[in-house]
Amino acid sequence: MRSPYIVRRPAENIYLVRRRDRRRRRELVGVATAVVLVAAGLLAYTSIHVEMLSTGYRIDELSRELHRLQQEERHRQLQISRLTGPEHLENRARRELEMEYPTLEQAIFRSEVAR
Amino acid sequence: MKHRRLRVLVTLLAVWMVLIVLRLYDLQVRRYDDYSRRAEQQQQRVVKLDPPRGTIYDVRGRELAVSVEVRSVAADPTVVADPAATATALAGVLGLDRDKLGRDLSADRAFVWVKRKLDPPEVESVRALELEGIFTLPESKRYYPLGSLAAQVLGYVGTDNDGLAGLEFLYQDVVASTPGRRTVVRDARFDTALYPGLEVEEGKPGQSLHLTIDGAIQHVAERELERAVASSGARAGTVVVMDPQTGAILAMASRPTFDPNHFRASPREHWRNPAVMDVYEPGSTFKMVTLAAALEANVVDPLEKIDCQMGGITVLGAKISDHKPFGELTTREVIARSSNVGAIKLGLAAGRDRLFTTIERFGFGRPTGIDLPSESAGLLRPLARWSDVQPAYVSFGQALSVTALQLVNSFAAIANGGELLKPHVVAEIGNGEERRRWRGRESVATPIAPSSVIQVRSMLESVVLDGTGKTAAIPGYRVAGKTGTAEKAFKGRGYVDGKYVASFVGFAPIRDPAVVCVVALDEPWPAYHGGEVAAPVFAAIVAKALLYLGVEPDRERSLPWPRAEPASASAEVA
Repeated sequence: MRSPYIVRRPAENIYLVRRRDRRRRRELVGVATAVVLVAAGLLAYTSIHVEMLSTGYRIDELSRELHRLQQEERHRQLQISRLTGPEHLENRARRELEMEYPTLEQAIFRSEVAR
Repeated sequence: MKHRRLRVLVTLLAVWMVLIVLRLYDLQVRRYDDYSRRAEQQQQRVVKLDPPRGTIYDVRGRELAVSVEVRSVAADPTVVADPAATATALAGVLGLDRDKLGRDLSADRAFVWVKRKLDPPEVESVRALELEGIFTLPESKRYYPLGSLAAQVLGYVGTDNDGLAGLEFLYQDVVASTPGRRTVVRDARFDTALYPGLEVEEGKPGQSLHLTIDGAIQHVAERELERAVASSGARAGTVVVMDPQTGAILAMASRPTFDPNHFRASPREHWRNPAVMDVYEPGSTFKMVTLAAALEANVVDPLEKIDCQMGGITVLGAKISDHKPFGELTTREVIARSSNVGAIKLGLAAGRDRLFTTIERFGFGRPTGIDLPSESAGLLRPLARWSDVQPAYVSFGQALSVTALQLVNSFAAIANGGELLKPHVVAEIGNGEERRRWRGRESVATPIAPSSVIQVRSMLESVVLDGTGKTAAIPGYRVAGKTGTAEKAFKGRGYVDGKYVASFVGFAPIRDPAVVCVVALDEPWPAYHGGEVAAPVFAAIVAKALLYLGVEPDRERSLPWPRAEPASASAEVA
């Protein structure tokens, strides 16, 4: 619409500004910082706690595994003790290798070797 | 209007937040202790730590007694849905009384034992049944991997791992472990985790015992004893092998014996250790003490002959005879041929006071002090209560009782040059770096002068060279010893015909004795003389022991080298 009373000018919104409320902004920053800090702290605490618990599970699991392996080793050692016992060895030596107790004539003493 | 609604909303919100804060205060501050405690109970569990009982090793480090973890079966009757069916299933697998088990599983309790300390195949059988309310728990079990080897020395433990006999009993405080406890957190799935700050009380494993017993010599002693008891028809037998220079016991065997892994399967009397608990009249083996007393009293003239009165003597109305008639014998021959009459004359010549003192100084009439439980002191009347004829009887080994250990210990004094030592079985105690010496060479008395020792040794060698103990000869080594054939006295019946204790005690090699050994067979029959049944066992054991220990044969050999023909059993046995 053309009119001598209408002046067309480009809108320059830069002149339309909201007045900054510095105080509220400071409050906002403060609260946000506090919230972030607290949240970060809680998160850190929680994650440490979870990590500790997780490590605790792992330690307990490893501890039980270690115990199991130790007992297994003990049982094996027991078997070795039994199999290397004098009676078992003698029986096997006689039966499988047809061995007998040595006589004095079969023994070689160190002093005789030295001579 | 808009603002009013907002104000109401904010007010309600504020009230709600205040209520929450109050509630939080109530839960987390006011009732902190109560909820903390409940949380702990729910989330934490105390786990018992059960370190193993100390291991018992022989002198070469062989394990004689060890503790291992096994599983025991238990039940929670409150969870068992069908006690009867569960009992039937378990009884079939574990060999239990079904009715009793059924009653246990119906009990108004949260925990009952079903069977404790099972072998792995049994545990797997129970697990395979997948029965509700039935679970397994770890427990410590004592194993003796070499079975009945040195059983009476080691002893055994009960179900709760308390020592009940032998070394297990005497050293209970040493080998028993100290339980610990650890608190862990538990989640909803009953998984557990360690958490810092929770209570941990570390237990302590039991200390190990390191014995002087040598498993190889023990095995030889047991095997030879077993053969001897079987072949001689004896009802029992005992062997003790000792290092005369230190008092260390190398072997201690008895028959009958038992397996400590299943001790309840054997009669209670087999659990005893006769070598230290049972007494018997030593008979002619005691003539060594009489000889020592006579030498100390300076009444022995090596050139003089003793009239043995052709095998019979009457002392204050008591008639005592020899096993065969002897005429005049030197002191050496009295010992070699084992004349009772000759020994009586030596004893009477020494005098009752000297005789008694010598007997005491050789350790008779009191325990040796060995570290084994229930040791007998033997039976020796105080001198004040000796009858007039007592010295005569004591001179040839009657009217007093000794243990096999006392006898071998007295001969060890002759072997080592005249010192009576305290025998011991445990040399060291402790694990790893904490291992420390426990018992060693400990002199108790000097019953005989070194000069007398030389004469006694020489005369004891005569027993083996050309006396009643020829079957104790070991080719390549000089052996000294004494045979014994003692009549057995029974309460209320006196001496009974045909009941004897046949024994031989001796040492080798003479120049530097490495081994002293006693063999005693209870009621052998029909052969019953010590020279016939006990002396060969001594030779069999000691020959192997000397070779095993690397003891070089004597250079001043009494028997030709190489090996001479085996000596046949002599008619002159006593």
